[in-house]
Amino acid sequence: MILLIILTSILLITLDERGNPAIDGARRAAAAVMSPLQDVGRAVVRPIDNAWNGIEHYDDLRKENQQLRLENEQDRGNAAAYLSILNDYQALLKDNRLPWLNQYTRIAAQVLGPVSNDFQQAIEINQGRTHGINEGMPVVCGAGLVGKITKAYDDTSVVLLLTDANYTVSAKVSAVPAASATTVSPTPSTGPDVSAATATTGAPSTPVPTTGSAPSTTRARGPTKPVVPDTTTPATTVPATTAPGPATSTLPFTSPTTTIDPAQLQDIEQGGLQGNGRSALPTLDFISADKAAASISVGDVVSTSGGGTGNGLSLAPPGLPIGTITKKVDRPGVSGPHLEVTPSCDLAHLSLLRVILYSPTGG
Amino acid sequence: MSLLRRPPLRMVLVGLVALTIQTTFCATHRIDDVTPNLMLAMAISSGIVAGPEAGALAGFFFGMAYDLTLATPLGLSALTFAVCAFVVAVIKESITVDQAWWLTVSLGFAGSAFGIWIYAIVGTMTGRHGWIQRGLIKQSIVVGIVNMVLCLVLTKLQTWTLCAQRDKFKPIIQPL
Repeated sequence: MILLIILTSILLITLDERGNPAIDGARRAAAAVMSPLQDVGRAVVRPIDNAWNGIEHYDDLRKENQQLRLENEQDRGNAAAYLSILNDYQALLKDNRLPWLNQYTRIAAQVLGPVSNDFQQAIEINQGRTHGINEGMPVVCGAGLVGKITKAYDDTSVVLLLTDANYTVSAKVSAVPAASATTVSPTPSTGPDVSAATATTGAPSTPVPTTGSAPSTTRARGPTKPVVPDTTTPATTVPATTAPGPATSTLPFTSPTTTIDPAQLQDIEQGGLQGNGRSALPTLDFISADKAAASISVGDVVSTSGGGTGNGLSLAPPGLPIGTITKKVDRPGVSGPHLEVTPSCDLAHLSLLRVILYSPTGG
Repeated sequence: MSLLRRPPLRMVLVGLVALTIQTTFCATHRIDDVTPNLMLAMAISSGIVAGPEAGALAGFFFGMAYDLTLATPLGLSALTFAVCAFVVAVIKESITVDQAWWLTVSLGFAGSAFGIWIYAIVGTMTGRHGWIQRGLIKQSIVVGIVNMVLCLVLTKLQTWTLCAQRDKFKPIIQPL
């Protein structure tokens, strides 16, 4: 009996690894069955959690709120200063027919919670295939890249975080000139932004003014946190027909594509970013040990490089901020340096995200 | 209500409730950054109360249900849970047929820790990176301690679910 069970399990693992429509169908059916049950479960758990957190962390939250208000004021000033530069930059890219991130439609999604497995750094979001989401699409928060869609069901999806050991993406290092080392520049969201975060989980059901600030739960706490600006130009509201989810609304997201001031960055080198699990930072490798690599230093900005050919096409468009280099270890030989990257997004406190409807083969 | 007397139906009902708790409450309430593994505790409890073969079948069922909600290969949890339930039941059978709380606690801890390692090893064999690392020791200890306590309660629940006779390894549910 136990032998039969083991053989059946191995057969299932093999079939799933090779990709099997029957197994995918079973997963979708299970997601459809479990979705209402999980909603009930969360509805029961959430008030208890909120009450407990309110009691336990009240003082911390008040302090954090004050700090965030202060940062928000500073960010408003920065946003105005860099707006014109980025508009020029985007216009230039468009004129030269170069890809620019705001050309891609983005779907706003709310985090339902982490997956209940410590071996995967993944979260579940409340948008799925019915909203146009497919496996492989990049997911971002206000500060930069979060990960990619690894399973898409009808109304929910699983996002593999960039810290997961099985996550890789092609990335490039850009040097931040000393004069602007602490400078990051925000820009308003001008691309199509389909927001449906209110679909199932009780986010605000009324349209939020586009001049409002991003929800505090989307804050980023990275060491070189990009500025998440107050949106000063209106985001395009896509008609409800393009967002099948109920109660669509426009949320004041800011494109993470614009959190780095491109005018001041200088591309140095490309490599592959690899997650290393929960307890370690992602690392960037395969950078050649040439003069360019030697000039990489702590604090340089890492973003997606896009590109590639054939099966090696990158699943993320170029220019998505990933994070900053926090440690550089030089290695002998031709291996190039080993770089540790601190993600821009605070991956432990994600709340509202956006899925970029990007396909490497067809935009 | 007569349907409820059938162990497979009871397993489906209990499994759905356990899976809901696992994917909502357990997923968001980590202990020292480790997610409690209720489904593994269910499988081990099945092995303790129902014996090696019925326990392995129940473990396979709970593992399959868990696999369907995860993005890991289907069959990985099923294989791990079935083997865990089987091994735990064989060890218990070799010691005593009586239900002793200390034995349940010991097997709950050891079986869970063993299960976490088996899961990581088989996952690595299927090509997953970074599953065997230093944090695995902490993870197996935390899951073991939590499941040690859970097993005390879950053995009673699984006695009802699998219609297993209390204090004896004579489950009414029979393997295929």
